Amino acid sequence: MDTTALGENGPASRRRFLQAVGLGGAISALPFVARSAGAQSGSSTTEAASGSTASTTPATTTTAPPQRPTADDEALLGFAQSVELAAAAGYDAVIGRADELALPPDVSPVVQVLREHHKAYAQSLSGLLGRSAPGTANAAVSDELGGPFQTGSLDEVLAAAVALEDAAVATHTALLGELQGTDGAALLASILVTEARHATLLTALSGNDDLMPESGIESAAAALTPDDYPVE
Amino acid sequence: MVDRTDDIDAPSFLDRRGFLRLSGFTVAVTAVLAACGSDEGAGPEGITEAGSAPPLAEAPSGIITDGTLLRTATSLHYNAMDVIDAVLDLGVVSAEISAAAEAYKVLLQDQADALAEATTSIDVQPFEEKNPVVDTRVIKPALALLDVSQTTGADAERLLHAVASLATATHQGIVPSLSRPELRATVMQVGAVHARVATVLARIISPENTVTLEDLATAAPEAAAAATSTTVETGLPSTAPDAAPTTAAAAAGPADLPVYQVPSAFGSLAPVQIVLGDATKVDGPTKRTQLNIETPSLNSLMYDDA
Repeated sequence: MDTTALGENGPASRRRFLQAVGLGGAISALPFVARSAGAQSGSSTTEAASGSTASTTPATTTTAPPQRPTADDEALLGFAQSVELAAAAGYDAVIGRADELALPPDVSPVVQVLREHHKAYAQSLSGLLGRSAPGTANAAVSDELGGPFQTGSLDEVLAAAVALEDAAVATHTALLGELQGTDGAALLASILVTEARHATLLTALSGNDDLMPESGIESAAAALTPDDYPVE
Repeated sequence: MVDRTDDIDAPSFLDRRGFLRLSGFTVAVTAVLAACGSDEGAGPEGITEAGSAPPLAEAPSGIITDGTLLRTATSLHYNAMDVIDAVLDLGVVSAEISAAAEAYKVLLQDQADALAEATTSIDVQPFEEKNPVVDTRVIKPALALLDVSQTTGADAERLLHAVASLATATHQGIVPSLSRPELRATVMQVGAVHARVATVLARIISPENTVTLEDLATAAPEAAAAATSTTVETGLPSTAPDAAPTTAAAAAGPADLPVYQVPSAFGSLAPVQIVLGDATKVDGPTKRTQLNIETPSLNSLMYDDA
């Protein structure tokens, strides 16, 4: 006897049983669906920092900033790289004139290390920007601030180095106010804190004992801008 | 094939098909009734317990907003001012460090005010007092260890340097977490000044330690090789030609850690390390030990809803 024949007869068929169980399951799931829908009826606030989502009363919704540099960011970070390469070139020139300048033993290692730091900054920016990195020193910055590196006395070199480092700090600080991507912002932040240290150390090496900052807020007034110092 | 159902002599509602149908119906009805019922009378709200227990503290939301980060940064400035007051009260630091600390305190208040203003600008209540978690877990233990130190003056100077370094790292670290670019700039206008102050303090503490040997080895290997021939008693290399032994070199416990005016190529987010404590103790809570001070994190952030 074919047992399947039984299933096709009457209300007690397997098909009907499965239909009944499915209906029962759907009915029992209704309250949960309703509860979930209720939980989502408030606004959802996505926080930029944590990326977490939580149900909150406020209706505001903020969008997380991009991690990678945007197209505008790339231009700004490219400019930052050109400034770093101009600084590295300046220290290169000083090291090339080491004998002429008779670099003191406390200054010589500092100049060499600072050159490497600026090269490292430029390389890090290259890593972030890839093919869009300009990879060239900013000629306008070199012309404006780098003269003493080529021909100045030791005192003039140190003064120019302080000015260049201060300008780099101000520039990166100003760029932070424009960058959208967090990767670029984090990199510039890590660079500028060390360049602030560079400037303070160079000030000390130039014989100035008045090292404490005058203000608790770093000025960005001396910031170099891509408009004034275009990358070529 | 034999139809075995023919052999079963049972009521129709108790056969296998009927049984399954009945149980399916029961499950569905139970689920509907359970979902529609109220919790009233379901049981006691709390579990009965003996004795008294403190009320449970309500956990913060855990949502890190721009306001949370700014409030935390602000609070750290009050911790730093607290440390300066404590150190200056001890009267053990050099006149040069004392003057720098006094000047730093003025800068700290300016910075705290600027950060509070930035917090207000985004419609969040600023947090203008010291961070209680940092105070309890970092500052107070550090000051307790400083109190029992045999080299209080040197340790106090290093503690001030550690505070400035911690502030630098904190500001740098929160930059990528801030959603608004203008706030990132504001925060680093403060962070850069902390970095400068850390360099000033490092120069007073160790004028010979301008750059690290690792950085020098990369930039000028020959100069680095010459520098390694000069070592201080801690066993750590120094770039100084005539570096003096550190004050705690002969004492028990870990050696003092060198401080550098330019400690690395990029700003570090690693914990700030400092050695504090009683060098005569070989065990116990006050023995000389290395503290790893971390920047404020999830458990020490000043949340908006706190």
